[in-house]
Amino acid sequence: MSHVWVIGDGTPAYEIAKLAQSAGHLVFTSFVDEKGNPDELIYEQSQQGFAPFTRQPEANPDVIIEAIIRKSKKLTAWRGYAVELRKSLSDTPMLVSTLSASATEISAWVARTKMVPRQSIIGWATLPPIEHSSAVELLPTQFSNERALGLAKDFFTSLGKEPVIIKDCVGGVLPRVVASLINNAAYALMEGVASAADIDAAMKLGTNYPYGPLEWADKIGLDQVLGILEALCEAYGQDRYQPAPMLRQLVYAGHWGKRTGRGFYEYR
Amino acid sequence: MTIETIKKIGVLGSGTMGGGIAQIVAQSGYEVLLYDINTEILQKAFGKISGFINRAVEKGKMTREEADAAIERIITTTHLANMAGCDFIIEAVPEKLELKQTLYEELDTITSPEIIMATNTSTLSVTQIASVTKNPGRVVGMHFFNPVPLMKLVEVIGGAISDETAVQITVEMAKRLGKTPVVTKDVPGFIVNRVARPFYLEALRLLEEGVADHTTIDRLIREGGGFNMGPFELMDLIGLDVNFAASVSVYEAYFHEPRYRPSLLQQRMVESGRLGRKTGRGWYEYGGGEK
Ligand SMILES: NC(=O)c1ccc[n+]([C@@H]2O[C@H](COP(=O)([O-])OP(=O)(O)OC[C@H]3O[C@@H](n4cnc5c(N)ncnc54)[C@H](O)[C@@H]3O)[C@@H](O)[C@H]2O)c1
Repeated sequence: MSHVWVIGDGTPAYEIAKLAQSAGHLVFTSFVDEKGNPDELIYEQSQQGFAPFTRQPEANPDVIIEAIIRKSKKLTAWRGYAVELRKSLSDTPMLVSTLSASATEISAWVARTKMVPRQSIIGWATLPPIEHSSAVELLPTQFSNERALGLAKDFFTSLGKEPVIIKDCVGGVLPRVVASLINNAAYALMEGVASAADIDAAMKLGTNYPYGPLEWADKIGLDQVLGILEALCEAYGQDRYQPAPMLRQLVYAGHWGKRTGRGFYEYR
Repeated sequence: MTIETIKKIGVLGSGTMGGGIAQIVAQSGYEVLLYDINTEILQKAFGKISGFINRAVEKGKMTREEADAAIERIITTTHLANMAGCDFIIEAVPEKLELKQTLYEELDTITSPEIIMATNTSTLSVTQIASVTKNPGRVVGMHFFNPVPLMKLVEVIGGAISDETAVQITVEMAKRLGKTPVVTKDVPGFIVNRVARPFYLEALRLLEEGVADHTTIDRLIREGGGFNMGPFELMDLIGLDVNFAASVSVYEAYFHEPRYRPSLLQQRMVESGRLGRKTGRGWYEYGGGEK
């Protein structure tokens, strides 16, 4: 058992915390709110699963996992954490989600605040439902050291996920492919090509996808999907990854998917 | 025209798709008039269809009597004029606009004006095919997937000027053929061939960028995402040439929408002749067993 800190604000953070807890780790969660302020619980579901937000625990963590879904929030949150974290965490591997910025970019922020050495930073990427995936992507940067990478691998192995190493980038393999599928399906829906249910049924029956893209988006969280697309736009230019206006509208309206009761579909 | 009055269905083209369609139509209790350009082709197609139906008996999916009755319900013809006796038409001739348009012009004079004519086109505009007929409202798209007897999905396409009732009757027809219909507008690629593009294109971009090799990408998509096959495995199965052509056609049809920009890397692969399983090598190598 080890001490795991999960810092985040979306479905991935929630799911990873839950998985770590059921794997026997002692999990401390810290969720950031809309403005990127740490320390404030906005995540409803955390009340059901594990202990809601705890102030910075006494003991040092063995691993810190971050999964903040929008880059703007992420930057603010990291600044907030910098003050606290720099005290004593110099050796703790810090696994940062590449869904909203590459590990190299986060390393640059972190280097500026001197909160942890950038050698400890490793990117990680996967998509909800994390429970159902047996592989997780690890994205070391050119600065990452073997020790941090080893601990990152051990952590995911302890959750029953096989770590697979890829080159650092924005998104990672699965998130990029799936976010692009979802975006493309959202355009089709917005343009009235077919209903959400028909688009999902067509993709499951016609090409054997595990979930329809729109129902998948509701599981991932539309806020997270938008976060991936925005980060890709910033990294690669606006054209290919331009988020469907409908997706933005749903996010602005607070319809973030299953966990808010409504996304592309309604849930009761 | 209602779904109940439909007894006899004309199927045009007895190739990969037409043969499969004729089979399920006959198995669903309808009489089939299967049309093609010559008797040789028709005989071959008929042999294949009855072979598939007989195999279903061996697998215990159908009784001998049911199979015999289904086979008996299929009549073949090389005379288009015989379509006059059909209550519903499904067309699966080669994917060439002029060929289809010529056929619809003829059918328009042969068949009674209220019966539905459904095209199985994958890439052409249903609206453009319909435009040559005097009553274009009765022309819809009915896009089956290969292999027809196994694939549950049918995209029912309402062209820009299709009648709503024609669309609804076609939806009902798809259900009676044991399929799950979805209704889509007449846009290039309809739902599946349009929405699926990034599955291949994004994977190709990741490979081009050197984020991971194709084996790793496939593995992450399968094990991380729960897909049955990774994009590169699937391209090999479909054929790289066919997959590339589909991407190019969607890209052109959407007036060069950047989301659909095809991959140069894939183009080079196609040029190299490594087309996938059918040539023994694509992204992967296939042992001697495969052609
Ligand atoms: N093969 C697929 O995976 C697939 C899937 C969905 C839709 N489609 C569409 O289905 C249609 C048929 O495709 P296919 O793969 O079955 O092709 P195919 O080449 O296997 O069959 C075409 C048949 O049409 C016959 N034909 C040629 N000229 C004709 C004419 N003038 N009149 C009547 N019949 C004629 C040919 O003899 C042949 O038997 C195309 O529109 C295609 O785009 C194909």
